[in-house]
Amino acid sequence: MKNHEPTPRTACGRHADALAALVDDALDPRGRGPLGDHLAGCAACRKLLADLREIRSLARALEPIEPPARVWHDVRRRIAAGEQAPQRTVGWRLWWSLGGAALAGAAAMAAAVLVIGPADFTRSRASDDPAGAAHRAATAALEQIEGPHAAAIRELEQRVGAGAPIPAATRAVLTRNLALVDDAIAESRSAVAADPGTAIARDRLRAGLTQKLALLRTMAALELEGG
Amino acid sequence: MIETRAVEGPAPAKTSDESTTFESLYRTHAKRIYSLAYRFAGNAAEAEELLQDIFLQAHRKLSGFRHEAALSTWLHRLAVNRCLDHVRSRAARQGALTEPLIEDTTSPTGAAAGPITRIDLERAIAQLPVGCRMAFILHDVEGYEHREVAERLGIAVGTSKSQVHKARLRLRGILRGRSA
Repeated sequence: MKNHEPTPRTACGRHADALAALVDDALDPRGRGPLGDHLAGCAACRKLLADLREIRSLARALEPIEPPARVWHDVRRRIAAGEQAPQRTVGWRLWWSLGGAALAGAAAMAAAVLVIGPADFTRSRASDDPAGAAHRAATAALEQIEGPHAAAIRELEQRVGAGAPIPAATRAVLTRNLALVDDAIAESRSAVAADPGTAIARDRLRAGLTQKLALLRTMAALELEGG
Repeated sequence: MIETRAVEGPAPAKTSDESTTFESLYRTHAKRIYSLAYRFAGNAAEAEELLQDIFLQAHRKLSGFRHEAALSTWLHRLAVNRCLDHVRSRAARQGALTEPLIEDTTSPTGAAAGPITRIDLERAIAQLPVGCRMAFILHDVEGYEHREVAERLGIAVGTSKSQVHKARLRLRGILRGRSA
């Protein structure tokens, strides 16, 4: 557990804890008197209280968002694929649970499977699987994942840089993020190429491409808005 | 309490067709879980990935479900944990992504620009820093108690309170600075 953080200051810097509690209707009766006295004479805090209550109330009333229909189709497809080859991801899942999950690189994941999971790895493939077939499977898996994103990424990469300049600080953050995402994509790509049947590596690659697309769209939108 | 907002739909009817049963589970809960994922991730693409992951995980683990809790509570807990993992993992790998790009809009000095809409609030939530965003979504949107938020996030109850308060102050700043 981390230590308790101080409650952020409020409009006039006084009664911050009490005001926060009042928004949640959780203020101790003993605290209501002093805060009430303060609110009676402090318009800024009264306005703040009203605004925070409105935000809380709006947050409670947020409607659920309908997911696109394609998500269920993808879930069904992936379940069906898993049912046909239930042993395929066992070695990966075991390593994943032992290995510290997402902080590890996808390249390290591929290496770990080869080192600690040779039995699973071998069992998950047909024993007479020739190198050519493995290469074709890797290429097909990469095309399946990268295909839907490739055209959009290419188009955005060409567009970014051609619009109005983005403020230097913002561009630096976005460029740094883009480099990180590119690194993650490269690692996931290696992992998929090493074992195209591994759901986690495929998911990571898909997520990396999605993030790259989102970043490029952000950059393009900022340039369109004139930075 | 979470139960006050949980979609306590009945467990899907047992049929001989497992895929129909699981589809019924998905239809009952996908909307709420997608909303959670969308607000945690801050964008639709990652929310879709998360929704898929959560239901694949649920499909794998469903046989181990012991009926000690309502199915919706079990599924929601699984979803929250997956979303937290995702956000933390992303923050660890790409810490810079958590930097708000429009920092100046958090200043609470702008004039109010009319009534706040749901879309305004959704957009503003997406701009919150990760720490206070997670606490705010769990507490103010999902209806968890501070004690439960603290437990989920591994923080003190007081920290949960201050993170939620910080989030509300930031949201106020963002919303007051928005264009009319």
